[in-house]
Amino acid sequence: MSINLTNIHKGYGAQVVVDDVSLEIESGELFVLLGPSGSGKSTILRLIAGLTPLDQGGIALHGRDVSLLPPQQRGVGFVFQNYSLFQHMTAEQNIAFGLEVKRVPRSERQARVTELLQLIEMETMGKRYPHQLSGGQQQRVAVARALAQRPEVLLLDEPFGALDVKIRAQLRQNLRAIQTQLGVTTILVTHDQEEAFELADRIGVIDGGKLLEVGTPDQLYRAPKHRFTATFLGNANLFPAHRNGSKVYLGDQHLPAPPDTDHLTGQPVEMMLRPESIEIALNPTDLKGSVLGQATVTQLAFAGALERVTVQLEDRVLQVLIHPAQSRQLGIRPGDRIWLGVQEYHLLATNHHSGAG
Amino acid sequence: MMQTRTLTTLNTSRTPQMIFWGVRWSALIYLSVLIALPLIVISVEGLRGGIWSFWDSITRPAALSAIFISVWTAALMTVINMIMGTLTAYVLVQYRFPGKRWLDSLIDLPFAIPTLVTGVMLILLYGPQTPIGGWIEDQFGMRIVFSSPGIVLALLFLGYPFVIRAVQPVLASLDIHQQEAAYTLGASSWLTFRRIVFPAILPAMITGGLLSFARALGEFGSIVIVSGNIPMRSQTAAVYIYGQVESGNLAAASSVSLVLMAIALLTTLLVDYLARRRTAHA
Repeated sequence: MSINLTNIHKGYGAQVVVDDVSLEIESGELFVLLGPSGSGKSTILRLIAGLTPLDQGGIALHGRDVSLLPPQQRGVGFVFQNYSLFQHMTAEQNIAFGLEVKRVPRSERQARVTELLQLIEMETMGKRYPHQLSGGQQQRVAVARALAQRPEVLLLDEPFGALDVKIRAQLRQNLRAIQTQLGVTTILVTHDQEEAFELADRIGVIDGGKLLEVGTPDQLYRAPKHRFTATFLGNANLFPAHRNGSKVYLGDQHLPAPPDTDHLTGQPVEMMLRPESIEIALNPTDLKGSVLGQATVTQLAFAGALERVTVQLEDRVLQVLIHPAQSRQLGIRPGDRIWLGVQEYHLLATNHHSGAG
Repeated sequence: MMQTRTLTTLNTSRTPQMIFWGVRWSALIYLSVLIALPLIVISVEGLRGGIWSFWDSITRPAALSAIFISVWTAALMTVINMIMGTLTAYVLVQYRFPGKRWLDSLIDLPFAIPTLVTGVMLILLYGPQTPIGGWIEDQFGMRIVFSSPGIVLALLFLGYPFVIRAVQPVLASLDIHQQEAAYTLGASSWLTFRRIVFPAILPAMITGGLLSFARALGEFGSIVIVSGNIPMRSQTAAVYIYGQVESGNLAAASSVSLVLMAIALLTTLLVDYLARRRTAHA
């Protein structure tokens, strides 16, 4: 285990920022802490780096208890949201700073800086000052600076937050490539679920200082345990339901219960339907999955590659995503009656978590 | 659309342009009358008797010593204030303590207090008849008032706000994450201060220091009271000039004035240069 957090806790006065968080991260893993702003995710990163003192709990990096060590002795690389490059030093000097502090001989230092500049594809820009670099270049220098001492752990606090959408996508790929190449255990903090999906080996969802659940992007998207996860990671139609025998009852309709949901029998549950897993047809016989019922189209909206259809099924409003081609073929318009079916659905125990944000 | 806008601009542009020219010329004329004209007059007066007479005036032992005393006391004050002022600014920015706001406004007081009053305060505090002044003279055999330490003390009081007010905003706007980044890279607090914080505030320290130096060079009011004005020992250039004017020797007065002005001008230019370089870097 590379990073091990045991029941860590941080509060300011009465305000709890990190609430009893435990987490294990494997060597070489890229772990994303995902949560809204103010959820405590950045504080967790600062606690690991030793920049904020821990109230309770333990932090171990590669089996070494660092809970009480100052940041200088933790051996973590940290990339700040605004990069915080040393303004009066060139890119090279920024990258070399940590090596200089560690009294690495000049020749070795120079070789390492060259290597890192190659890694971030900025070989020709080593002599430039931060103010002469673009946001994306500054970010890459900040990553190189954090990696210079070959840290055991790399921590990134919203590293793409201040960048244009276009550059962001490219830098994400760069970062993932660098991380994979070096195999450095990494925690990245973000509030952007798309970023989390693209980068993460595993995601930890955090809200109100609590780590709600941990899983692969696919697991969390398709089978979240928390309502917050379901709604924070993409769009979700959630309806109160209940499970009995081998069926799930959603109002008058009933559907076969998904496998592995026996433990939810008898307790209040919610059924989660992702907008893209709902199908629309003019006749119930055309549906491939289970029939949900007949509904009325209330709105159609262009949503890029897909079309967003809002429908009313009895007293429930659902969001559905379908291909524009299918929409044209069906020729649906607001007010039309259509049939809804669903191929994949998920049950989660009702847990109206009330956290910050 | 484009054409209408151009037309409107043409129609209304005459009046603002005239106002613009008016403002520009009145500012330039004001500047010339207020600053350039006296500068020219004193330069002409100082060099009226030719370069050799000017040279004679400023190389007279009393004049030379006065200029020297002015420069070294101001320089010593500048060095002390650069260190202590930065320290004060650091404390004011970094820490919270009761009475901080009160102290913060107290710092500007030397700007407002008449310099003569400063002199009187120092005499009352360190004069030979006072407990403190007497004690220092007994213990260290050193006179504060009516001697060069008194001059430095008066200048320290005057120059105190300059460095603080220059460094304070720079320290306050310093990105704390840069220091934290240095910590995670293994740098101690001291190393972080030396390599990260200090280079960031150094230009402001120098600017503040140079400004206080320029201000101190010509100080008269407090020094005339505190220094005792002993020629060759505790007479500064400003007081020397006053003496020469009093005894009707305007040529000598303007020659030494010219030297003081040249130093002040160089200092100001240096401050300007540093400020320019700093904005180019930011």
